[in-house]
Amino acid sequence: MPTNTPFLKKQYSRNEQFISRQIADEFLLIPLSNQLNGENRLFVLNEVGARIWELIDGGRSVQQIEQLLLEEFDTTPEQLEEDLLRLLDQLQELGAIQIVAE
Amino acid sequence: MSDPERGRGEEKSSVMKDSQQIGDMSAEVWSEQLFQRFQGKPFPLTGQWELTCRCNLKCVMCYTDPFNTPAQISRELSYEEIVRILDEIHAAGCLELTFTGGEPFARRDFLDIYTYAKKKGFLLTIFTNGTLITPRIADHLKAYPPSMIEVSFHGLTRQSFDQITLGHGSYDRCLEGIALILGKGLPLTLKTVGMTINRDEILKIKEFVGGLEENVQYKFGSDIRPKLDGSEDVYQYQLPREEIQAIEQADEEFHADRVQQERCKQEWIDQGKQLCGGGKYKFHIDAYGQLQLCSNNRRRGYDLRQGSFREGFHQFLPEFPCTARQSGQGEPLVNIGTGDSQKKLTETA
Repeated sequence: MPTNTPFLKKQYSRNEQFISRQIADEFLLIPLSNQLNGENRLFVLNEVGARIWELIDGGRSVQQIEQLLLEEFDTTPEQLEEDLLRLLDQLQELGAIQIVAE
Repeated sequence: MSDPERGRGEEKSSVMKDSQQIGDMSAEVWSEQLFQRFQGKPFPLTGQWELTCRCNLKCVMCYTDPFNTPAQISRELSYEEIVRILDEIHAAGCLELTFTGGEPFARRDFLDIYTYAKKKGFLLTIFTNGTLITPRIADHLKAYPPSMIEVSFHGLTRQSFDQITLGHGSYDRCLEGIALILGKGLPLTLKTVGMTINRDEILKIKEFVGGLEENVQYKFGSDIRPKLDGSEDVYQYQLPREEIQAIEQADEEFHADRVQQERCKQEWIDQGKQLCGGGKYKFHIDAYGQLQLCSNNRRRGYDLRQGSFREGFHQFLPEFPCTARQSGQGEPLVNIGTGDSQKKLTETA
């Protein structure tokens, strides 16, 4: 059973300064302000990461996102919760998402 | 809510194990990885779009200048057409676009076009003469920064600069534009076409650029090409090859760049690779919606007003004649496409 209750209650919204694109079979996040030491920086998400990005809408809680993913992917709640925690932390650190409720 | 198409058996677990990972890389590295994976299969990753031939200057060597007339400008793509084509290019997978002219800022709707493309997730470069950049434009570019702004800078004195642009006051306006760009911390490259008029200033311009800010880049070229109306009077400004070599050899960085370019070129030839990416991963669109291999090869075009970008890039562009394509050297023009498709093709001598 999932244990991290405060985390599961959180709701995130996407930062509109990040544009998502699917090119070939790759899912990219492209910052509108894409300069970093003169380089265009890209973030590549895998299939699950891309789905999580799609599900982040400022309204769904992490728990609701988790429930949807459990229906779509073959994994355990524990593993999924751990993955969600890491991915959302990383996205937040990049500034691609922000907490809107917790 | 479950989608049977999503996740398949054991694959699902392995994907989940990687789900915490976000690939963080430069577009250049990502593009290189994509090319390797595609193994030569055409993919329209990068394009150059000549949005207009309109320009406030009349540079003596400019190949688009003959089409800087009201009659020709009236034939150019409208905002609505450009947006539709942008949508198609986006759907086809293009990541990097360069907007050029003419002078792109001479289009009153350029910032609208630029911003639309930016919000679609394109990585954008702007080629400009810099003279039309205002504080308002600089502010807007700061909010939606391009990957690079390349400013043509062909002279280091008012006299030589204006003699090349045929625009009184253009030198001062260009410097003002450069100051606005730098003031906003935007990425900047200055570039010079070496000609008889500025032959003695090229190395001084490079030194001037070196004294700007640390990240400002400089490009020197000597490519002069016939004008779009076919006239070749531009060659009167061309520097002899020996003189260009002398300029390159007089500067350590120029010389190193030349050596590196020649080495790369030879390696590609030895490996049997195509020397130009046109039709492979690059494309060019002119102001009238003609999809072409590159700005320097307009022998054939595919009309994006009549056909789709995807069809043009994948079905027609690979067959367009190109001397830089190893197997295509010396090939005669061939007719491809039939019926409606043929109507989308144009050919110039």
